[in-house]
Amino acid sequence: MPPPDPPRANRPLSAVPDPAATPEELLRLTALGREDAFERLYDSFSARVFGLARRIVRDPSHAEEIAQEVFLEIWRRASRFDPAKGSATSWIMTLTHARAVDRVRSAQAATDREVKVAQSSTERDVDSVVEAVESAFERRAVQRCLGTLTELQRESITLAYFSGYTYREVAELLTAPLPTIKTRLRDGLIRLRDCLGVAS
Amino acid sequence: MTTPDAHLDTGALALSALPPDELAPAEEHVLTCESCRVELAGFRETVARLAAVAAESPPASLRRSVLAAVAVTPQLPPVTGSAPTSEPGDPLVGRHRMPEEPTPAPPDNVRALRPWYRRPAALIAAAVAAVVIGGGVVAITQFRGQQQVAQTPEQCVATAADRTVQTPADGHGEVVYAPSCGAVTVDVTGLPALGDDRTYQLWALSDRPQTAPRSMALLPQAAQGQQQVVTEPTQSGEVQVAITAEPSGGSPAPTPPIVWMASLTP
Repeated sequence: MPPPDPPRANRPLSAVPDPAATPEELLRLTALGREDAFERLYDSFSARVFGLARRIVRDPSHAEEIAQEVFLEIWRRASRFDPAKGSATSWIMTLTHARAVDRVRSAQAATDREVKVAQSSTERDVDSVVEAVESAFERRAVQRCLGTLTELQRESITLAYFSGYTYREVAELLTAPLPTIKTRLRDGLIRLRDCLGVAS
Repeated sequence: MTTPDAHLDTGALALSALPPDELAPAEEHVLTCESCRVELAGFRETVARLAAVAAESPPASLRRSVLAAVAVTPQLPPVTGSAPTSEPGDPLVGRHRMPEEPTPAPPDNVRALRPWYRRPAALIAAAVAAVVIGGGVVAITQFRGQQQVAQTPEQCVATAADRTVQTPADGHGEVVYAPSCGAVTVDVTGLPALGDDRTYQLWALSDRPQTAPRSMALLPQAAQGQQQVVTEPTQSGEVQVAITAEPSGGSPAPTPPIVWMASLTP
């Protein structure tokens, strides 16, 4: 006669998460071991995680490895997510960015990362992307707001974020003084933040 | 007098664009600068949204391999004690940062990716942050360790570079085969439930006609109509996997008909 343990595997309350559940809620459920919530999280973030990793490391198979690591880490560390410290989106994308940048900065991958490619890749987004209407809106909003930046602000931010360059490398590439780039990164982000309506 | 410069660092900091030698001073400054902290928090949320323009659907195989890996990966327990984390039952705080939050609030996991010697001492001195970092360091060590030590066959198949994904003819489930691991992960979904005295049995089929089908596993969950994922070693010459319905306990040889079959390779 087994002891009356709570039946974890097939608990009666394991209904499908509310379709309107926020990423934060899905992370909370994931921390409880709910694979269905994790799947939902995967479905809403896989394009962004894979896409960002691919943009940074360029090689699709490397991007896949990074995405796999990121999602595995989300699964493992879901209980450590603290919504008081920022959104789930920020948590997941920061992790993705760090992993991908880690990869390019440690590997001698500089060879195939050409600035030209990084700068001209905005066009490619349009046809290679996701279906979800919601993310299309989000993408359009971000692209519109990127369009409100000065060229130097936009180039500085995209080189730093999508190519994983340090601001010194960005300054070198754009032949601009170091303090200028630091300033453009900051005032560019201020403009982006206000344009996107992010609470500050 | 470095303060004016330090105020400017928030942008580069949020974009992870500070070189290592400037990182610690910038993070230390943020700890003592309320307005920088608020600004950095807003920047981090802004930067997270930039990824939307790079969004690109990953190959469908990634979903399977992530879920297969998750199925065999334990989760870390929450940080307990004085850490100001919200309890699972608490209402969620929402997507906005709290300005009074005492740390500069990069996700602890990302902070932990950095070597310990690059972390600013001031941050370690902050009791709250120290708890978070402590958890993070342990976690990352375990995570890295897991990749370095011998992998389980499941992990190997889930991450192998040479893995291929096949879908059986009836469209239910999936077969992920990695020759370098000498193993296959079979994901069975959509099989009808069997009676109590019956079970599904998984077989490996060889391309050599004289080699009999080899029993790989019983699939009791699949027999109940549920999803079941198993990873089993393969042997040379095996090219297909198949499932038959058998008496509970299995059979030494498959009993026709084959209810499900898939190739290991394209």
